[in-house]
Amino acid sequence: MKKLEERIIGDLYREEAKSTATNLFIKIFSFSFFAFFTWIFASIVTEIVYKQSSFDLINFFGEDLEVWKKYFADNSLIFWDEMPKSILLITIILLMILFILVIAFIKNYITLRNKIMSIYKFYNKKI
Amino acid sequence: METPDIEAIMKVKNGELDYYGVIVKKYTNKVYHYISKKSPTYEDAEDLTQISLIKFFKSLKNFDTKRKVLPYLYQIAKNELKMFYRSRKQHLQLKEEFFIEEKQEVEKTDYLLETVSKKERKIIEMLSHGYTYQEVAVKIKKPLNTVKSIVRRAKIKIRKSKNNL
Repeated sequence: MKKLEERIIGDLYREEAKSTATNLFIKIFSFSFFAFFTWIFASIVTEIVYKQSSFDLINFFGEDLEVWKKYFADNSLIFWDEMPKSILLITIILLMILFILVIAFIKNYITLRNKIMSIYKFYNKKI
Repeated sequence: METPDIEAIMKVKNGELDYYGVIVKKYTNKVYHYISKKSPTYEDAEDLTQISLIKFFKSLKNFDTKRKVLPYLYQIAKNELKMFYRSRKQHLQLKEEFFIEEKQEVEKTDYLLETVSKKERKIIEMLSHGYTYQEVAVKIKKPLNTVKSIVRRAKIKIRKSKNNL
């Protein structure tokens, strides 16, 4: 019976090691994939806005409160109009996906860490 | 369920796989004896016990801790036994002679149907598709008794040709 128990435990660890490794790989891959594209699209948006000199519209922030009150609404509207909206939308969607991925990872972090520790302990004991 | 079981299951759910050893040590023997009574060989019983306990581990995510472990494990073992016997069931191979016989039967029926008129064939086909006499009568716009006599005549014709074959 002891042999059977060991066989069950061994099988279980082997399967769990496989699934944890796959899970981790998928998570790392998807995170890097979305992070990379978010960075690319964000830099494109910044580049376009920078080339249009749209950032000049924000300079009034350094002025007094009265100037703020006077120009805030107008400047914001113009700034929004000058934005490349389709690329901005893609960037926001990518950012949201990235955010969801990070939240999911944080939520499962302890379980994942415990699993990895258990698997490491099991195989380390064997060696 | 006893407290050590709940604790172990909660910890396993939390990723601490070592605690599944508690479950394995406690229930392997019981599950093995349950399966060995119904399986042909000891090797099969061992394999099925292993599969059952691994399946239980996989189902832990959805396992309700209010439920007892042993009945749940027995249910998994029972299902595994069912699957095991189902997979061992021999399948009847389709022999060529059966196929030829069936083909000949179809050809014969087709030939017999050719001996009746178009109208009669149409009615017989409708009846064979599950229509009632009444429905056929409505479809072909004829009285019910006419349909019945058409069918009777067709049957006589078919019987005659069958005897001549």
